[in-house]
Amino acid sequence: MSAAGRPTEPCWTLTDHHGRRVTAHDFRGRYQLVFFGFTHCKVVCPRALGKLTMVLELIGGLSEQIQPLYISVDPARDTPEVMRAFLEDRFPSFLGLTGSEEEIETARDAFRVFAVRRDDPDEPDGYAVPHSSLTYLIGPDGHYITHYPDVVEAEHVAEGLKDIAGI
Amino acid sequence: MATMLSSLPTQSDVFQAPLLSDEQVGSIRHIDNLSRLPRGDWRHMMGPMPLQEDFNSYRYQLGYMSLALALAHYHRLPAAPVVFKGALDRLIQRMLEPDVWWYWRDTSTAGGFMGIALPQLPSKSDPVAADNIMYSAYLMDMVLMYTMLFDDRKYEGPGSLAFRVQPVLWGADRQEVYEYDQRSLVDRIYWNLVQSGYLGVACEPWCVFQICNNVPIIGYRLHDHIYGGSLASEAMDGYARAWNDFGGGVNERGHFVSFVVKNNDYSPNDLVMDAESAWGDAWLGLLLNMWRPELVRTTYGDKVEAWVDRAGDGSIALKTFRPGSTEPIQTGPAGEFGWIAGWASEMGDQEMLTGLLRHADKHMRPQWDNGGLHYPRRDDIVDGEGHFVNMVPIVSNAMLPYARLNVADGLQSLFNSPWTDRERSRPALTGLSEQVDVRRAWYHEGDKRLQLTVSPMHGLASTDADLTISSVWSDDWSLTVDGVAVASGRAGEVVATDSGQRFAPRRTGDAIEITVPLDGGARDIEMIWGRG
Repeated sequence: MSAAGRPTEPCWTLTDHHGRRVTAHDFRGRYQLVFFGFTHCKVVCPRALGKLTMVLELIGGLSEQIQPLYISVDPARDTPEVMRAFLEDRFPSFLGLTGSEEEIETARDAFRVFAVRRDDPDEPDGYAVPHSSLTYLIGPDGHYITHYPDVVEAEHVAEGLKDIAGI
Repeated sequence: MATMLSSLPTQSDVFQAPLLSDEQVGSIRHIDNLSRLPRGDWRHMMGPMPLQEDFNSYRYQLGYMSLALALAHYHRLPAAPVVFKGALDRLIQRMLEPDVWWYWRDTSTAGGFMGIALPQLPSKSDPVAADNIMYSAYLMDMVLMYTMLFDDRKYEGPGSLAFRVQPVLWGADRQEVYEYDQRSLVDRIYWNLVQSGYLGVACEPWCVFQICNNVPIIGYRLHDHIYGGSLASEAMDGYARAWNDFGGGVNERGHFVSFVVKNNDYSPNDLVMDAESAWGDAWLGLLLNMWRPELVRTTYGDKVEAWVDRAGDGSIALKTFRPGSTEPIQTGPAGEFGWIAGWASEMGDQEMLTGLLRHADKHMRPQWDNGGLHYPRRDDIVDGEGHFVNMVPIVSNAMLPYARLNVADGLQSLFNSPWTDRERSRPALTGLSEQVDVRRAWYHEGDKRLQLTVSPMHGLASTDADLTISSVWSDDWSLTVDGVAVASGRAGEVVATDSGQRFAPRRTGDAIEITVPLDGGARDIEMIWGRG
């Protein structure tokens, strides 16, 4: 484990769900709302992505200053095409990001994200990937601002974003 | 011990706050004595196992000595910061000594936990950067308790928590320094927790213990109290959910699960280690009562009874056979006696606590040294008459003092209601000569009345008590010693009565100083404000 306290300026290079190579730097100038998960996730991810979609609705025009990102912790199954199919219908505000095992590990480490492959015969392909459920807010300068646990209500997150963005 | 677990006085009570017993003030002074030992002097603290590997390691002793002091200040002597501030600060400084944390250079290499084979890792020296929550959590709690209790921000300064190794014989290029402050320390530990999925930060690599991951919850709570944020609630919520994957941390017989070995190159799956033990139940029970009291209280009675034996005289000792069998067990060296006493104190189980202390005082050779009470180390488990007599430093130096000074739900209430400026700005004893014990120090806010009782330390027949009482000039006041008027404060001036001249009352800044001869034992000093 590389441990260095809170995320500071998370750096990563990944592939978005349109197949484009992107880096953290490409999103400078906008806030990033970052959530990690995997498309086979039955409960945590759909709930979180749904809540964050509601947050974006609650903040109205401010959402134009925010890039929501959904980073896979299951790159073996979450190809760009799978990410796109998962997000475009249900959570179209989000841009999905995936990559090689090494690239994903670098991104996870930058955000201090926990994820582990766990065998589960009841799951498709026989495994699940329990993972952290924090939502990270990254500033326009690429620096970590804060995080929100998944128990925090959408309204609270929305108020926090309004405060931070100065609206 | 009549006041052991008595209810605490409320602000509106007009009565004498409880006096501390000889054993209670002796416990405080023993910890104070240990805190004052010169660098490298660990007398009374050296345990039976080398390499800082067992529960008598200095880090645990220092951690629970600090908690004992914090609980005593919070619950027993809230108007006597002078008794605790310097001692707690010195314990923090001792915690930073390489003697305490340098084991990590070797322990971080892993390789195995008792019978469990684990991969080996490169050596790491920084004792708080990763894993090693069995050290870092205690240091975090100690500095944040210090800040909370005394509003002294010395550990906020960059590098104020420095781990230095400057060996003379290894060459200057091998000197190491790792610098933190209390906020960067919390930050480091908390994000290690996040990266663990909230199950917990490991002690030894891969080994995540419930006990050691309840300790930092105190620190997170105090951090949130001082700086804002929600680390504690995030940690508790995440912990509860993460341990749900491991049976909620409780086995089918109601005992606490000890730890989880995380998956590694030798083991593809996490392993739950469920070795029921007296220390496991009691140690975790006393901590977990902070935030999961319903879980602890519903199982306390059955669990604690499984580990103790009662004698006809009311004294209580440890079982030396596994409950329900004739299989002997090696209780003692892990500090079981002390963990159970500490747990009983937190549960408010006065009968259990009194029984354990009675056994200790009857069979464990209590000794008084420089006004402090302790029990000398003894490595055999039972004596020739079959009495449990084992005594290890974590019990003598930390957990028996802790148990004597705690009150029912004492850690829980400190956790739930940390002090603010309101408590810290009250009139209080801030200066005291060294050979004086404080038996009572309570400010009754409703009555604007400060009650102090001081006595010569154990073993002294007489001494002079030089007292400094601070934050006294908010209103006119009067001061008595043993009920006799000594002085009053009017318009910023100290006026001594005729009989009070010999106490030499005088003003110093926002405080007053007096010198009280203690030639007849304990004396009561009382100040009342606003009575005209």
